[in-house]
Amino acid sequence: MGAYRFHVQVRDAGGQAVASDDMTLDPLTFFPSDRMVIAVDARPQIIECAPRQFLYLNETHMAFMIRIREHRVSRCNVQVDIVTREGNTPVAGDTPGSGNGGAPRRFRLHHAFQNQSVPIEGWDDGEYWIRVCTLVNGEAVGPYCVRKFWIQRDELVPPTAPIELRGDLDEYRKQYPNHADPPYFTTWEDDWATGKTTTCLPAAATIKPYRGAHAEPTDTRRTITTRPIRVDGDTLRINASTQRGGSITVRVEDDSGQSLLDEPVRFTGDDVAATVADLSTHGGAAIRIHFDLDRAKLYAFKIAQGQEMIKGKEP
Amino acid sequence: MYDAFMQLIEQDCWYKTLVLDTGAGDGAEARVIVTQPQGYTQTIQTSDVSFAHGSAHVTVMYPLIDESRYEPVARHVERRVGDGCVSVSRPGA
Repeated sequence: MGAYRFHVQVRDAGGQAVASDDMTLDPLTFFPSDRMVIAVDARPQIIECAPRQFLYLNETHMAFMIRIREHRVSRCNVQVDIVTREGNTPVAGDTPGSGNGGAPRRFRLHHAFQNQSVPIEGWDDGEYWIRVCTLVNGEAVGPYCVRKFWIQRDELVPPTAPIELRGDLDEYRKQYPNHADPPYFTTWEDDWATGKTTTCLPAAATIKPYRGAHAEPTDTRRTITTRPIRVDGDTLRINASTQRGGSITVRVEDDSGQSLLDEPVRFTGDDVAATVADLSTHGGAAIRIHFDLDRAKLYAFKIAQGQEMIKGKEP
Repeated sequence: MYDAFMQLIEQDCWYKTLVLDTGAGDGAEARVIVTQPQGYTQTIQTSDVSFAHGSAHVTVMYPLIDESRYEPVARHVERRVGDGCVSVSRPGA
């Protein structure tokens, strides 16, 4: 936090400077707390303002709350705009969301909090400042009250391709006729060896691409064994992630239980299409795949052809 | 010109008085330039200048609206392995 700097110059009737000085005050001195506690009411400000969130990821609107401290000032008009950190050109004012700036939004404050909303779709990632300034006789007076918030969308995308591990929507509708269709339908065999199935409903609104439902040990370790799968590609790929120290060990066996790999393949990391086994010499064979999960999540696997993207597939 | 010593007195929520040790002298008006921590600068002209005991009292309207609060500490979200995973439950659960 920087400091306030005051420069004062006193002039006589002829316009000649007769005295001047500079003074620097840090905000904690300028806004002293008389109760030695960090509380909004302990400082002599007249306006309270705060963004509803500091960070906006995929939201379409940002919002902030603002009110006057009625026991200090009975009423007050303010003007509010939003600027980027880098520049002072307003990006939102009376025409919020237009993206082309505009005059500051002006309104009267009351003791009750007002919620103000500003569309932020299309705004660049970065830091933004909400600037609040008091109005006296229609003129801006005093300092800006600055509140910061950030927009950061670069690492999140809305779900586009939910993984279909097993099952179909028609089956779901038969089984649960009174349920609305899930937004992203998929089913997951809790234990593929026994055929026990569990319907899974991904609940998050925002997920990584190709990261829908996943298998994860309820304790730290677990083995998932597939039903016999006909090899129709040349490589086995997995969409998986492991925690620190965790791993996924992949074993491939034929119908008779004979291992088809020289040794189990151990995967660590976070990859949506990691190649873990070469099955090019086993085309057409029926195989079982064992995934030993140790502090890991398995989202999907596929016996892929060439550079084909991995997605879950019905064996 | 007298190089003064200055202090700030808070009159109320709206008005602040800057006191300069001017020595002998008088004045009719004052210009106050305030620079906020973020770099914003306000220039205030005032004729509310009085003298007493060798000091000039310059009163300006400068409401405290406190931008030292709600300062977030961290602003970046680190996306780690596992972030974005969905919770899975049985229908109706």
